[in-house]
Amino acid sequence: MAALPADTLFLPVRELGERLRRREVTSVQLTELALDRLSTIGKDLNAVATLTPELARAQAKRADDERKHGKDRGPLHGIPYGAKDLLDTKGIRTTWGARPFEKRVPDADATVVARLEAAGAVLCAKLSMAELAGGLGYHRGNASLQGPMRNPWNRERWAGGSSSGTGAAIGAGLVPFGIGTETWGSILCPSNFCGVTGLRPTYGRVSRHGAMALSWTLDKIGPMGRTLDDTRLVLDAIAGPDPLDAASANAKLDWRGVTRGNLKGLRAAHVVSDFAKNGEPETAKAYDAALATLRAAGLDIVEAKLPDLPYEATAIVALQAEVIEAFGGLYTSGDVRKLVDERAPIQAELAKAITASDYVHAQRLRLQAQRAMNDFFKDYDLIVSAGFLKIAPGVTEDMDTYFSGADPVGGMGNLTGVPMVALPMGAGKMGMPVGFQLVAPAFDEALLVRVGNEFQRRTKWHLERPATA
Amino acid sequence: MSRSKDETALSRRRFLGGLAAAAAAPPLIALGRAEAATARKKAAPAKPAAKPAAAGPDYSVAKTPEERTALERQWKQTIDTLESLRKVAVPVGAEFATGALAPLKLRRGEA
Repeated sequence: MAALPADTLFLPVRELGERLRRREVTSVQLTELALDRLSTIGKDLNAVATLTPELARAQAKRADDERKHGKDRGPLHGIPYGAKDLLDTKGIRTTWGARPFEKRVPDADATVVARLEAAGAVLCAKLSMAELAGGLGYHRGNASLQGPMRNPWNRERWAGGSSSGTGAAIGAGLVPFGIGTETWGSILCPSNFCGVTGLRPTYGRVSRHGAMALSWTLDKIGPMGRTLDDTRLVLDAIAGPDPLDAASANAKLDWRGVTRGNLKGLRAAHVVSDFAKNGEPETAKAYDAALATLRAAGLDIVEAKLPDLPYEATAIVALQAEVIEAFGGLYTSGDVRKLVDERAPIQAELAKAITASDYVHAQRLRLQAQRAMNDFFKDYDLIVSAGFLKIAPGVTEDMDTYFSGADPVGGMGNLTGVPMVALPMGAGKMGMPVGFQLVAPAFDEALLVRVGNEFQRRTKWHLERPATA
Repeated sequence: MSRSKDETALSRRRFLGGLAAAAAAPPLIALGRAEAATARKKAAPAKPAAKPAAAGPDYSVAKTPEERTALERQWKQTIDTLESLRKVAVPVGAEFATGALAPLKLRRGEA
């Protein structure tokens, strides 16, 4: 069989799967292409923490052999992918993006990794990430064991974080899908900045067993890919209860109706962002066009304000208390000084201000926020809002200076655990990708997929490719 | 509520990572309205307990002037965040929550 075109891995998972079933391509071919691109372009972007060629070749051969014998494990069978380097992989280094853990080798697979293997997917690389997924803070795009996290659209810009390598690898067409994690923004941010599609599921939808814990009450795992339809396929494979994660939920995914294109009858709350104060006009223009596309599809979009609650402050207190419990050992050992971010050493001092009562109070406020949002969703099926109002910052730029503006939708979404998606919506300043987000009630990922699918059917932004890749 | 540039930048920074480190001071909300939004409560809200102010950080952990400056600034923001959050009452008997809360019924386009 002839070598595959270099851009083959930009194709959606669903299409690659069809080509595999038609025997137009083999998993071994796709895997060799992915390994080649990850080891060249991926290294250049600092998107790769560890290549996994032996495992990948074995999994690809198994997929091809099974297919020859009539066994089909489903839409991911034989498809290459990459996983954020905080998901444990048996016998394969898993560094959490941080120097103190650079030699860490787990002895078992994370549940997500095991489920993807069962679905026939081929793990080609562990992908880079911001150190400790940003748990002890970072304010530049170079805060990673793997070095500056570069954007495939412009190597001098940041890929976003903390699932940086996952965003960059999909954006550069190195793998067709990947797994990211989010405590607050870590799937949606790199998706927006790298021009890829991210699905941040409901808290509890995907088992975190074998994933680095940053915040037990906020951490979530989710798929990133070229299309929202692809992320749905991946979510199907990784979701579901797991006795090894006490927070995993029993709720079933129900995809009925997701292919219904007409959005008439659905009402979206539009939470408005202040582009004039904090944004860039190019991004505002792309967002206006995205809203127009959704309206043309029949979606009723109404300006609305979120219930007036301290989402961000509440989430910050919960997060700050939990993260010091998770990484307190780094302060005891002094290893916190091995991290790239120079402000990490002071974070434990800040957490000392939080009392046990503060932490419990925050978790009680969380329930108030969840109830308020469930009331809110009696009037609106979903929420639409802009993602970042500006393009990705420079890779070594100080984010504290670059970004301004609050994140009420992200704060609410992560505090209450509701699902969100990030969708590419066009080109911002310098031709860099920009995106927007949709939010649904807890466990209603299907609605996000229905609305997002229709948006992507009407636009091609999610299929754009960076010239440099 | 207006926010200083520094505060909002920090808030955004948290969004970027997973973010635990420095505490931003997000807009604190009118407490009564918060309660109104959770309309189910029947009991009067509990009066928030007064909390002692924290003594202060151990500045010896800051090894450089930049770390010292960052610690001073972020400590103040942390205290501001905590003090404002402590003023937000929750209904008597309100439970502790962690994960997601599924709605009883999805709207699905119902008027």
